[in-house]
Amino acid sequence: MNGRCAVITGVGVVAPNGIGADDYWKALREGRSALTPIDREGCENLPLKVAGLVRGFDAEQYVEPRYLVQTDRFTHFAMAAAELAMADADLADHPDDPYGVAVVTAAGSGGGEFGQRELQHLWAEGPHHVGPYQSIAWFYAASTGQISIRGGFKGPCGVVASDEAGGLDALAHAARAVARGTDAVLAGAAEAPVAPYSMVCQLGYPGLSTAEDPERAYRPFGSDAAGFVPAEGGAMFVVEDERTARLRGARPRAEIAGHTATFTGAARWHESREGLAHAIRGALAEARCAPDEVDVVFADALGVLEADRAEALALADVLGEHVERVPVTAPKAGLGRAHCGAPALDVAAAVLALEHGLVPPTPHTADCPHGLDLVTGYPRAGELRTALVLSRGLMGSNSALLLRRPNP
Amino acid sequence: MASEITYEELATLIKTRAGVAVTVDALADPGCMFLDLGVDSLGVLGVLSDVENRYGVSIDSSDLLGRPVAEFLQTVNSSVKAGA
Repeated sequence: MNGRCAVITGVGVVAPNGIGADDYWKALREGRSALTPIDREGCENLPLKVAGLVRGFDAEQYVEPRYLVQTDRFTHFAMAAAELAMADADLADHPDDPYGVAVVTAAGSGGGEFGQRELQHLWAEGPHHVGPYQSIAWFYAASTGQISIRGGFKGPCGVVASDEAGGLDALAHAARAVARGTDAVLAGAAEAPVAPYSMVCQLGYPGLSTAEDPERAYRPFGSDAAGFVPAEGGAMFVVEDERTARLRGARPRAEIAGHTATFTGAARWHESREGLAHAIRGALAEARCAPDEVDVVFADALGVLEADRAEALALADVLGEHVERVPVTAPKAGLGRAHCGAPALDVAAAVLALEHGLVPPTPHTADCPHGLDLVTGYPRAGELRTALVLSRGLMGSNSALLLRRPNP
Repeated sequence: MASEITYEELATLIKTRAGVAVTVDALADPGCMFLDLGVDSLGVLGVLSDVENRYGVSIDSSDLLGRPVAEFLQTVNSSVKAGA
């Protein structure tokens, strides 16, 4: 390319197991599970019983009142994560060159809680009682818009609507913007799909786990896998050109080295094998990373037998014999799947794993009949130079992102 | 019910509907514009629909957006009075 290299310099996390990268990493390392019975008003009689809930999140701590009244919880999460990432990278808002900073997010669930409240006003009191902010708060583009308005970021902003894998695609989009000349991009995804309306929207997913026991509800790759549970939260990152970052004294945490996305159709898990394999090959090729140079895999880990098998086979197709040696993990087994936020949280986990030389374990799952070296129980230490992060969407998107530890 | 909206009430409405804390003094300044306070057009619409619902009147918003606060309040109050 032109010598520009996209690196992550800031990590901001709002997750069921911790707010802020430090708390998040601590919980991941210990394999602590945050899955819990859903105890929210209006959710009591739905067949979905377990999720990863973000507790103790004080939106006012991160979001000014004028934005709070305009936005749904999913945007509160995204704005909070963006603040945390910027603080981590020491990147200021209202930069000297507003066109040098951009925002890219992905979202799938949108502002369900806000929207439900306004629709209830509509039916109970009439159209005059629907607030004008309904026009923007539900919209999946709301987080990009509000983060860019708040920070005064006028660079090439965007929203990726590509299913759950969009959480990875947003980072790839950011890396391409950086390669084309943008100084910094706030990129990532956060979702808040655990509210009555949003939950009803998910009930049709065949892979959804309706188990009542948080210990058993989501056991990806296990022989007793019973589907997946949803989660809320997500992660935002500061992505910058490496040289520009170093010049301003920022520390490159991980290089976004390669990415490819494919599409193989909704719930066609068998076919996702080929699509995911193609995505992995593309990401490795772009990163100039040989298959046996992959040091850890953060798996999509849907928890549906056929999908788990397809993912394991896709890894074997590309990595060959190396698949028996490379540690594979799915920390999201202890968090649930925050839709587009899920792969963003995996990227945060991968960045921290590269830094600490430690692969966090997969909670809950006890065995793995798919021929993978799944890390369970305890974290595993190792020299990690690269991390492969995988994501598939329920609607058929497959995506692979390769991160590399930067030179010191 | 009071037949006129005061600057105090407007400040409260702006706080609840647009999330922006404003002082009565700032609002009463003759040149004060909503945008200068950090209240965007959707925020003004929220304030307006609240007044409409409360007083049972209908106010044409197309004339009001972009006007100074003092003019906004004058127009709203004359609608409220006419409707009361």
